[in-house]
Amino acid sequence: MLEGWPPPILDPAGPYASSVSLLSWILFAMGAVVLMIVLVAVYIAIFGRPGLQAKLGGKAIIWVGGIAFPVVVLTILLVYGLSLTRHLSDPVEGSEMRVRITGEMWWWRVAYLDAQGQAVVHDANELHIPTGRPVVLELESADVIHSFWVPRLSGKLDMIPGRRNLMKIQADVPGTFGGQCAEYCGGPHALMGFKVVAHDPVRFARLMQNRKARETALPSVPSEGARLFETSGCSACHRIAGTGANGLAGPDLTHVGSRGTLGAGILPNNRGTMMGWIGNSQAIKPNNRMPPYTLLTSEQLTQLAIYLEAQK
Amino acid sequence: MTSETGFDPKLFDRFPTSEPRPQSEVDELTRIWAAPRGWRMLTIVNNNYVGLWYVAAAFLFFLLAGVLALVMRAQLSLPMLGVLPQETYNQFFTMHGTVMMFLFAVPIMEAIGVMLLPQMLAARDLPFPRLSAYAFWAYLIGGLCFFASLFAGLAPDGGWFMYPPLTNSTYSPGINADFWLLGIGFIEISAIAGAIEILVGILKTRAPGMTLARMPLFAWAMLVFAGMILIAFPSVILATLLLELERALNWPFFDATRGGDPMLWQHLFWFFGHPEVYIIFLPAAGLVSMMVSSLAKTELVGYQLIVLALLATGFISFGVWAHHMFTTGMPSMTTGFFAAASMAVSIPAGIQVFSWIATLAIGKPKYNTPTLFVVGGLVTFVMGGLTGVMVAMVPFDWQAHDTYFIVAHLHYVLIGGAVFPVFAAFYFWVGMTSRRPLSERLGKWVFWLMFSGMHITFLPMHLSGLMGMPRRVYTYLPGMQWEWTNMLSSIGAFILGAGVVLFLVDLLRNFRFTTDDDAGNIYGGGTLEWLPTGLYSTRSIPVIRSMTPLWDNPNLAKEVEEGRHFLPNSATGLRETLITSPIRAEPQYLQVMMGPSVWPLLGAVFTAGFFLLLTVQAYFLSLVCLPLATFSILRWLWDTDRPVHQKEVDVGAGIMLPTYVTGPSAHGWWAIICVLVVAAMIFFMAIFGYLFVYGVHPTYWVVPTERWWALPISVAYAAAAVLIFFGRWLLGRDRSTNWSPTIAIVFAALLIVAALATDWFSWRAQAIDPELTAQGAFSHAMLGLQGQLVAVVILMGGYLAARTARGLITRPRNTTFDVVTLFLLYTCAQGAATTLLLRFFPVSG
Amino acid sequence: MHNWRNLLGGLLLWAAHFFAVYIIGSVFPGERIAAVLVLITTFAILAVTLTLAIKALRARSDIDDGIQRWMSDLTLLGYLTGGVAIIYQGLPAVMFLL
Repeated sequence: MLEGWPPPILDPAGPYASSVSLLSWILFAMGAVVLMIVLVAVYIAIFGRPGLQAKLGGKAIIWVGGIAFPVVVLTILLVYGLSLTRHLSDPVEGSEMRVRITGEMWWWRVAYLDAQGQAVVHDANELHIPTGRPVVLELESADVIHSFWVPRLSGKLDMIPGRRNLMKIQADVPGTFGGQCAEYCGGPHALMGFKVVAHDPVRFARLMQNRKARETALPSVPSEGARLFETSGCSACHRIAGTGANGLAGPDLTHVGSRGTLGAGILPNNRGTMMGWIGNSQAIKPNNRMPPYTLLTSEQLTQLAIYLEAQK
Repeated sequence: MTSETGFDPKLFDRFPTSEPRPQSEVDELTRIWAAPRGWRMLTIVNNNYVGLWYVAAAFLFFLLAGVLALVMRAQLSLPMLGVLPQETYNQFFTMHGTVMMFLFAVPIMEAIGVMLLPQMLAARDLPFPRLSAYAFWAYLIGGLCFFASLFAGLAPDGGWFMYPPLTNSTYSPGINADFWLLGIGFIEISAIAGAIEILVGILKTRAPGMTLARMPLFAWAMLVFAGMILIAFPSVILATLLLELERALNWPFFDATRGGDPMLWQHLFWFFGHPEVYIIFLPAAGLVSMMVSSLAKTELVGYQLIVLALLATGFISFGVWAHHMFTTGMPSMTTGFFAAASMAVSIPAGIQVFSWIATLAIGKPKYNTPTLFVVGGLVTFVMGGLTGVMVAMVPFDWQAHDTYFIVAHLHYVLIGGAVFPVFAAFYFWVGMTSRRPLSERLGKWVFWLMFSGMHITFLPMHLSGLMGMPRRVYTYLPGMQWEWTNMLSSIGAFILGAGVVLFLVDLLRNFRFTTDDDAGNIYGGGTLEWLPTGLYSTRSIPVIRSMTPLWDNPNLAKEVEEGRHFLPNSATGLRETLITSPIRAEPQYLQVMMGPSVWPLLGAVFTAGFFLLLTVQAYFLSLVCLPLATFSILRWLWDTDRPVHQKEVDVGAGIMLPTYVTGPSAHGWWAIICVLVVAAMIFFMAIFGYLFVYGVHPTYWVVPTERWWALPISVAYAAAAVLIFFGRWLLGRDRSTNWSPTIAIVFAALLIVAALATDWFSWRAQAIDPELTAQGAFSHAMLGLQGQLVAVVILMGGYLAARTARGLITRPRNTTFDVVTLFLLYTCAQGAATTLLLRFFPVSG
Repeated sequence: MHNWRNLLGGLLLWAAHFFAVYIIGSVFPGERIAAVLVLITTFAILAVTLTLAIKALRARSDIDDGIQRWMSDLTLLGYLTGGVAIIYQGLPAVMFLL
């Protein structure tokens, strides 16, 4: 089988993607049929028997092939497309779980909201959802236009400064679904990835409960890594709940240890990549907003990585 | 038979005339139309030269942007390569798109128009040769400087669509974005100049008897093309103006924190940007229609349906712009309108495709290079059209938008719909301007390399997109399984590039420029451009009785050469062409044309200097260029509109035509109307922006106080309008003095200045700060737009006074006077509309 | 000018309809009233298109001049194209109401 097959768009994991996947197949079939018709017509026009050519040469073929046939095909497609659009953009009910995702240059701020719309759990670059039910995402931007796109779960929707776009996603099976910023946002736009992790509802409830508890938990045991985190300047931009680290400019690191990836979906998360990222993220993701910390020794980097690994 | 102008069509029966014409007439034509030599070649305005330079320049930009593409493909051939650093890659893809669209695709169509249209219509030249020269030089200088920004690392990096806020001064603080805004804004002006030239040329300089029903389809396509440019380009000119104002003066048009809206840019940009695609496709389709008929040696099937298709595309393409914005969260019903129009616009494309197929079926196409490019282009374009129908389906677009699927789609459409036809045209029409034809053997290699390279590059890109690869990425991570499709695309790109290189080899080996000793009608076309020509085009201008006159009248070339049709000589001893009526092409008058001049060149140099120096923030030098540019342009205009002493001349067979007319028959009148359409569209788009931004963030708006100021200001504009009409009336009366009409106009101009000044100062007293809210920004920008018009009004007043002083204002009517009064009247209307809009909208808080 | 107005009649009507429904959709985003207004506009403009097309068809039989007849044919084709595109443009409102 082809490498990369089936492509994510044709490999849906939830209802908002699967109806589009079906539409895609119908469109590809339409395209193939029409292309064959045109190719055959071109072949006959150039190489065909004179009898066939005579049938093809005349105004009638324009009316049939160029007007009537397209009108019929396009009308059917249009009606189908419009009804699907309407169906997929059904209004939000209000009872769904809500998460606010804010696009930033070049990462994603994630805030799980309660029924009142207050952020109760903070995270970044990774979204956890329960399977089997729709989740409403409030898409916003903190700087320039970004676009949120997890192809196996839904089409994309832009994050536009001054506006809030609502998107529904749903995963029917547990798993991890990758995505990437789809609207050019300057600099390392190419390296602005994202993961959605779908859990079965029970596990998800437990996860959220733990995280809510973590938001108000007391500071952990002092360690060398924690001290370095304070003194090296990390805490100016990053937040770790329950500690003095309250910076909001960069991704929230309260749960960084449990994340699958680092650097906004671009590196696997392990001690080595963590050290490399802290030491010189500019070499990995040029022009991202985090300065290199080349003055830290490898021992210090290790301590920091150990500390961050523990932030689950 | 009925007539459009009162011209008796029976007079056409006098042609071909029978009496012999002297050879001395040809010698005189040759002398009058001779091109300057040496460094003075730069002052040439004749379309045989300017057209070819224009084509060459556009092709140069195609090569340059193509090289950028190859480097980008090298970078993307494998994940995380370091061929290009991120910053440079972002500049490369921005420049690739921008240069291909603005410096290659649109200009090459205008260039081919400038080169072919006069010959195709049997006009001696386009009606405003100096305007063509100006448009060409402005484009060449502006384009080269713009491209050179890449070598200094100053090239724009915000994408060819330049979405704010990424491109505002916060996120793009360097002058890179300014290069785009000022450079492109300026090149658009040149494109509009070219469009006016082409539009008036097609409507007014066709050979007698070439009715709309007999017009070559390329001329039809260019007519629609030019009309679309006049409607679409103002939108992007306004957008660039607003964004530059936001960057330079901190006026928040697109800044959501102060009541602006980034979506406004997208609307303005795509209102231009999508019609732009058809602006590129239609001329190419026109070329294909003509080539298909010639290559198949039979009349095109469904000529009228194709005309319909061209017109319908011209209209409906203005209803599809928001299909670039399906993922921005528009209301679903609104997306439906754009989806519907996007579907509807593909029907005209289907008409053209099947008309070409039907023509090929009737005729006997041979296996030669133009046929290959035409058929290859047709197939490729159909594939692009089919993916186009797919992405017009909103839910599919939510997935495909901004992925490599779109990159594939647009390249299929543009390469199949425009690049292949242009290459076919190179091979097909090269005989008009080169001593030797291009090589058929090499040409077939060129085609097969380009065709296979194209498909190897772009077919896998569909899959890259479906696999989730977004556009505009400088690299991608390993393990995404995008490696093999990207590697294939990169290999294909270099095959495509090899085809283009081989074409260059062919050009070097075989292309030899000539104006009289050309290779001629290699493929047996039946339209007028294949008549024997010199720099004056055909010796006499034939009466047209069918769509393919050369096929239907084998003697036509001989008749034309012997001077047995219209205008076998120079009737006035000057450069001249026949002006005919727009629908039936009945002769109306003889236009005296401008010859070589250095002023269009200098005008272009200084206009380019003004914009480019402004970009690099050399404000003083830039401001020096502005009056120099103005002077050069006025100096060139100074030679125009000079009636000759013969009021009427014999244009052949004893038919007498005037040498000077005014009003709607005059070519100058049509040109100013085109200019006013552009101005009105800019103003209209500004109103749209004003209302749009209010609709998004009404809370940032206040109700203006002292609304009564609108009354005296509008009255002043109205009074100026009355004075203008009074001036026109005075001009028509014998008993007034030479100066009285001009004085009325000058007073009207002063009134206009006073009205604007009152408007400005009373508005400034409102304390609606342009830096604080979008309302402030928009209201000041609209007064600024009026200010631009008023600046021109002041110049025109002075120009009119100067011409009056020299006794150049003829009576009872005069074209310069017409032009000035029409412009002033428009300025009054826009001024009054501006003041009323600013003061009475919003109506209440 | 009237020649051009006739020639482009169907397409001008399409343009009028398109911008009318766009404005309606923008002023009442996502509301039912928008769909209703769009439908009313669509029927009204379709009626105008049909009336003008019939008028042009009737006038056509009196034309004996080549170019006039050619233009009148083009006019009719324009009404046809405009009509189809206008119907397309009305479909989103139908789908919205269903």
